[in-house]
Amino acid sequence: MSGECADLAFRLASDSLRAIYFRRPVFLREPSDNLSPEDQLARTQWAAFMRTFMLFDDCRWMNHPAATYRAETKALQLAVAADLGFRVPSTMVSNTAVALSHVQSPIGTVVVKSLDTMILRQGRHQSFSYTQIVGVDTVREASLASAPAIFQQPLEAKLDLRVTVVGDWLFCVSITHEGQPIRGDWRLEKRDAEFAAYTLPSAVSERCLQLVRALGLSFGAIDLAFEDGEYFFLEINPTGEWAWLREHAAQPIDEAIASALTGG
Amino acid sequence: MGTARSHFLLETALVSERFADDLTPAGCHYDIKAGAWVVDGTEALLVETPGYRGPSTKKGDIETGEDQKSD
Repeated sequence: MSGECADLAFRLASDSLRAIYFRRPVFLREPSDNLSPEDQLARTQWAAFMRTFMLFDDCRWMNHPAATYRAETKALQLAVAADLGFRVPSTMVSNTAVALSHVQSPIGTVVVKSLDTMILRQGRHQSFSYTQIVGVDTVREASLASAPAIFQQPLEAKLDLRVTVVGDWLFCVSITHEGQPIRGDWRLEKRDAEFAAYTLPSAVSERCLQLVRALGLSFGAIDLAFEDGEYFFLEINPTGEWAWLREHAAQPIDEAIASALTGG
Repeated sequence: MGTARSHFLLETALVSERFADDLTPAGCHYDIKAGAWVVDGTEALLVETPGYRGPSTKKGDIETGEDQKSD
């Protein structure tokens, strides 16, 4: 493979390419009325050019696009995690509320979250769907038919943990607000949240490493929840953010990524 | 006939101003040959300047979940 960019000619070949950090694996195929045919052509074909990197199976990938695509399927993540011994919340994927009794809490609440990231653009605004804990009655009265969602057993008194795995390195932080666990989706409190280094039991750490490997990844941002003395797996994001953990929790994730990519 | 009710995920979504798509550090440009951001004029590497604020990421470090897989 070869090309030119900003007067720089380049050539990619398996004998010289050692690592690929595929940080933002967007898939640009949909046509857009806002783009000229020239721009549509460039975006779709350069995106395919990047996917063609999958020729290079022998180099270090972080992460391989095929693995990312597979690993972003939430139900599959939960199944793989459960097979590895993680506790996972009871989960249902549906566009109706008829079977909520399988996942609701004793106090009649349920977690609702989108099956895939829901970020919708409308002009200068965007709509984002966060994980919510709501009453079952509210969900039963809501409109659901036009799109499926995830319904899950709530963990009402959880402590959120973010585990970032980079190769064989593992970084874990607890997430609190004013020293207290955060009910619901901690991302809504991100500006005021505290992130502190947290030591997992070795068996849980090992399970996190196994999960990333089982999904064919070399990087994964895992959300765990600690409740009643048990660690629950919630989800893994193969392209999760990490830079704020360097700044706010002194986690040297950037150094680990550089080491992993260079074989250190 | 009344208007159909929006899906629950739409009704409960958080609506906000879109963040700027251009995440270029102020006063800098990307040097493709160096593979790094450099400061306009001086051509110093951004990471070696006193004002460097640490790594940021692809979405301006806004944790919104996974990437869009389409445009």
